[in-house]
Amino acid sequence: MFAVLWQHWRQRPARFFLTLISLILSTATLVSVFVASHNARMAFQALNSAVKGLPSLDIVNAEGDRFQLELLDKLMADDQWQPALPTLVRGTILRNSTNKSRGLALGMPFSTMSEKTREFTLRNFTLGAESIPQTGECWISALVATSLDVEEGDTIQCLFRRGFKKLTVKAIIPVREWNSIVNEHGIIVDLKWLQEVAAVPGKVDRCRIFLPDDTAETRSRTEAKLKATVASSLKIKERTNTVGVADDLLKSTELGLSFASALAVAMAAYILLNTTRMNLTERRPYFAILKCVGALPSQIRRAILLEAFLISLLGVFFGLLAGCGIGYGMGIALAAVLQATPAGFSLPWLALLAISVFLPSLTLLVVWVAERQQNNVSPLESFREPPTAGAAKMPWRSILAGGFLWWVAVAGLILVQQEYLDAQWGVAAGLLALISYLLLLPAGLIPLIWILDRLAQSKNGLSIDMAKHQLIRRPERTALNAGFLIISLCGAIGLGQTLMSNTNEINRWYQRALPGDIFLISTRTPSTIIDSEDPLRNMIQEQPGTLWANALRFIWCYADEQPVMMIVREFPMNAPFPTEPKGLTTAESMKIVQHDQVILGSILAKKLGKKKGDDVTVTFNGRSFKLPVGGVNANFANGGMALVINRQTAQKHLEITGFEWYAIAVEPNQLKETYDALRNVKDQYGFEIQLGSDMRKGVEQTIAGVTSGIWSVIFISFLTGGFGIATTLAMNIIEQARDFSLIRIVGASRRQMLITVLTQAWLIGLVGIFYGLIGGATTVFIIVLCSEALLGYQPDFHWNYMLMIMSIFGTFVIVTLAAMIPAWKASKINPVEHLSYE
Amino acid sequence: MNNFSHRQMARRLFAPVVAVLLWIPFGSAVKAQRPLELANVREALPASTFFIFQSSNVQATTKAIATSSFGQRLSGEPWLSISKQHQEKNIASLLNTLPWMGIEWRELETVEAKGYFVGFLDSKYKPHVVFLMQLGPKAATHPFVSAWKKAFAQNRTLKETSLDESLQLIVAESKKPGVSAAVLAIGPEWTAISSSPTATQEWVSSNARNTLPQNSLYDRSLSKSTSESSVQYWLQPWQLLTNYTEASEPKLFGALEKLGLEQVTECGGEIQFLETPNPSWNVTTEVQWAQPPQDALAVLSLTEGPSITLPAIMQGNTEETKFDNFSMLYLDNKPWFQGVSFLADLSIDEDTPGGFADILDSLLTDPEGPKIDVRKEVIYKLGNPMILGGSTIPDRKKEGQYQRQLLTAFPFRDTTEMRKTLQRMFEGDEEVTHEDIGDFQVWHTVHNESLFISLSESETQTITAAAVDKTHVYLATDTVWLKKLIETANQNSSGGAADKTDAEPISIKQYFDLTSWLHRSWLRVPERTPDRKDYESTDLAALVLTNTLVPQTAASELPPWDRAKDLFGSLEVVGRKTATGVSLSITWK
Repeated sequence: MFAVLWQHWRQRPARFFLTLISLILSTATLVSVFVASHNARMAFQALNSAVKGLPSLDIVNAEGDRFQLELLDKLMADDQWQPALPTLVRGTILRNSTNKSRGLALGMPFSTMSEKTREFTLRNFTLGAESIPQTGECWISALVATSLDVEEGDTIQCLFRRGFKKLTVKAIIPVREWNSIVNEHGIIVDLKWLQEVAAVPGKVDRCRIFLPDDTAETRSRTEAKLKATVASSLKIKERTNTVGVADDLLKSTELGLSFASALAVAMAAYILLNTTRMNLTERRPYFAILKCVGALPSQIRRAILLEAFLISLLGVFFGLLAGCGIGYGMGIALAAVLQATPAGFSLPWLALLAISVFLPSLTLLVVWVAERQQNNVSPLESFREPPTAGAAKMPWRSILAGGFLWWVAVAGLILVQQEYLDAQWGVAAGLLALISYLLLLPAGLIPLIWILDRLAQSKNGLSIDMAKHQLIRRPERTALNAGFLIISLCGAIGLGQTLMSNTNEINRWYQRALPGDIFLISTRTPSTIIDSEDPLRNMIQEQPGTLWANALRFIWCYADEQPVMMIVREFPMNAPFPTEPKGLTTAESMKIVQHDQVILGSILAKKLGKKKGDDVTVTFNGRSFKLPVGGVNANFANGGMALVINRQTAQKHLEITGFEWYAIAVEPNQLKETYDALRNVKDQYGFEIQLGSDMRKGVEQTIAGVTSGIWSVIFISFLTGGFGIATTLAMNIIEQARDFSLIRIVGASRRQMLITVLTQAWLIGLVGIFYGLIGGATTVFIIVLCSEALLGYQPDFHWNYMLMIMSIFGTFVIVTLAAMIPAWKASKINPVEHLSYE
Repeated sequence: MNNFSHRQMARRLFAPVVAVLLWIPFGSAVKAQRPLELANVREALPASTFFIFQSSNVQATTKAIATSSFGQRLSGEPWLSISKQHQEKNIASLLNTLPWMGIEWRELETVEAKGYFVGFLDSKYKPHVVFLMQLGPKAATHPFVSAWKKAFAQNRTLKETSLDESLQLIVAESKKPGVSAAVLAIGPEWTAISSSPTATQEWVSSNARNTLPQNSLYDRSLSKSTSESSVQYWLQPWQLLTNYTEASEPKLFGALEKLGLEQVTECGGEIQFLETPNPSWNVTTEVQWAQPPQDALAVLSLTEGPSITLPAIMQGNTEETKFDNFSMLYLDNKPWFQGVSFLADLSIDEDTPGGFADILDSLLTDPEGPKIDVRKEVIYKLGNPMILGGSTIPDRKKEGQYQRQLLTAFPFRDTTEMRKTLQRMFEGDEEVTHEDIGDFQVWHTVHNESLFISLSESETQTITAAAVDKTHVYLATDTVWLKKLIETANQNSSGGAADKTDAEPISIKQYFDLTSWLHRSWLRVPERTPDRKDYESTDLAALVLTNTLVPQTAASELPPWDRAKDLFGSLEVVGRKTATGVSLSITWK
């Protein structure tokens, strides 16, 4: 039996090759997505473990201010809460010779802390008891020590309320050790000394209680006990650190990764289903012959299953190799997008093992089901031709199931839109909608038949009529073929339209958020000189032809404990306003920022549940302050987790000096002079200079790169669909070889055969486009509808008709190209050979 | 063609050959004139001259100095005894000129001729002084020369040499160790004496000409003479300082160098010795510095305005409220404050500029600070003139010691605004107390610590109190003292206002009661004793006193202040800014 099958494959290498390629393709798609996602997650985990620090809880003032340490006297005396580290945090300027940096002085009670806390601190900082800083001494973070070029034993100057204080560096603490206990980098000094020089006697910002482990149970138990112990004016909170930014970014990317993984699984399953079923259907007469010559159904089943298993093993092997390679490249790209350093390449062995088991198992399952369906058909029936078009019945059960699933999908999306369900459910609903389109496919044949009947009456109607008959007689095959196109078009139109519209929106936003003729991009840490004395600022203002100038700072801080980017900018009256909050005019928006209110990015506002009139608590360097929300606008910076604040407002709460970016608008006839003047001082002040036009060109190029990427995705999507169609059409021709032979015998010309196959492909294309357009448009509609739920605002949507036309045109091109070889083969068919074979 | 060519060549050669032939007999006979032969002193002076004091009649000048109030005070006790000590020990000082000038003051009374006291550098860049007199060709028989020879023949061996027939050199070589040598050079025009024989010989035998620029401050200063006794002078202060302190006082020199004093290029003017209406020395001087002044010198960024009477707070006359000096300065605020910042930076950390700016900026940028832009809200709004008053009062903590206290007053257009600013500045500051005393609102620290900022942890004097009345902002270095001044002011409420006189505008007006002002410095004089090589304090006045008046004197040998103070008198300075610096009129009584 196996020898017979072996001979069968050897006689048909093309079929074997096509089947194998399909399996490799489905495996590689799945593996690459899993490998890339795994490596992206690993990179974040590495970052997380590097900065997370030891498990702990913070006791802080509920109002966000400092509190008297004596409130914790009882707690500090109780050994069960040790190690406990009360800390006073005070911003300062640290200087060593000409090196200078803003930093934090952290006061810890070395003289009064318990032995347990002292031992804990020294152990984690890998220091001896002799290293404890006395008055006039400090520990310094390696990060700050490097920027100040300080070594142990050096003296640094530290600015406080009434001038500089000199401190001797007792120890330099490596970053990892520093992060284990404190997350703010700077110097550590004796608490009492710091309280004295900072003029805050007896006060601290927090008391950090270190936990024995990082389990949720320990955390909640300790939190509950602490709440019962400390004064009501204090609260217990999780330790916040910068890893929140990475976490958040990972979480928002997780949705995309999940969607990609789900699509990959769906595509892989679909390719498998299609290839395997067609492979078996096409060989139905062959198996009937085997039965006639005495082969038992069990023998045939075993042989088919073994054959499927072996082919799937081969496919999985090569697919794994290819998938890992593609995944490696995708992992690097993902890490770059997520602004994470690739943490070395690793393979998700468990997932690979699961794929290695899943795909052959799925293949065996599909083959087993198909074989059982075939086995129920008698050999005689297997020899018989499929029913004629007129006798073919509509698969109403499938259509009804499709309809039902579509409504379920829509209901799910509405629940996502209304935020009753998590955004992750949107992915599942989307997939369900896709399946529903595939199930609804046969319904699309009704209008198609009507059209074909009209076309069949034309001069070259014979080929069309023959194609119609072939399609209607084999609705399952037709549906499978068209399914590739639907998946491709859903992706192309749905994602393409949305992304194109969004990139346009980003472009518009960018142009409005960063106008200007000259941009200065700082190459040093921002200057510490106040605005009124800043020589560069004065120079820019006094430069003839300067219309306006806008110094920008980007501050990483927390808004209601969410890590965000604070965009500190100026709002010159004659400069264009960046995106106005929803429903407000430019004048109203200007009033908002002039009245010390902030504008939240829509995604941030959504996440915090804030709107105009609310307050947002901003925390920076351990200090908190409240800011009124003036409105919500579209802001794409930091993935939308950003807020915009007037520089003068920010200066009331933070040390805002210097710039990271400086946008300058000048009279057109003064552009060269201003550019040259600024270029002459760029090394003195430490910045790079770029013309606004060049900057915008760069952004446009970046956006063009993204757009090219989208087109590439669409192209690849079509290519995959085209490849699927090509393989299935090739198999179709083999399957229809007997029909074509008979038609040739009754006088059909080679040209008519060629047109028949091409027409079949085009008709499949038509069905695909019909459903693809509906599916694509629905996808667009769903994404736009859900963007309010996901992003907090609904971006302006503009149909890109060129994309639609290109998609339709591309479908025809791909279908035509995919059908060329099968059509040519059909025209060259030798009736004698095929009839004798059967 | 050939004939023509030969003729041409002969003609071309003729002129130079003749010139060379003529030069050999005649040109070589016209030898270059040496300095002491030149009638024009400007050409005669060494090229490296860095100071000149000129008298058109040395005799008249010497007599004027001797009969002036200062001269008389210096010739009395206790200075007479100290002078004898210096002579016995051969210590160079103002009281004993022999070791450094080669003569005694009184010997100049015989010179009824032009005289120049000149500082110059030798070929090894070492400084020397020489006294130049226009005694003419009969100098050898002049009483001064005879007296010089007689005086120097006592302890020294006189060696007479002639460089040529017109230049005679008499070198007095010491017989005893520790006694300096001297030289007398007699030329047809000028006679020079100096305590530096080698450098003087080098100069008088050279043919080099001084190349001082024409129409410079040098010319302007030396060309005018109001009387035959007056002294005209020109000097390069930085050069002078470099020559006399770079090697001997490296610390002081380093500190002055960091201040940027090399920007003061030159000064020149006249000293008059007046008998009427009061015996005094009147000094007019023009000081020039690089424009615009940089670094610390930027504190001399001046403008002009009317002379005003002192605010009531500075008009006390008791021991505790009397000011022994005040300076009234019309300032160009922005550049002036840059100079102040530079000085403050030096106090914070000499090697790291920008510290003071950081402190000021932090008052605005520090989220926990008072959020005050000090420059914009205070400094640039300060009015003119700034009045800086000083008083030397007994130290309340250390008996027998004195403290120098300073009060700075700035007119302020909107003192209500200033009060609010100060209120904001010290709001919630437990170390600062606020009091209303009459018209004054006062903020001060509890323990006389720094009210605003402490520039360095080792600083001994800082602003501890601030007050605001209706017209001025006051900053004081002592709270108790300020309160006493305020009490005085409340009793006498006349504030500072513009003088009604039609006097010319001023930039600087200063008054120094030297007899009081130098008290604290005098107490520091023993810091530089023979066994202490480096001067220990930063009191420049004490250093000058030590080096000029009582060098190498042990503390036990110093006259007490009560006996010494009468020497000093008082100093009044009035100045106006010029395009290149300042023009000063100084009266020393």
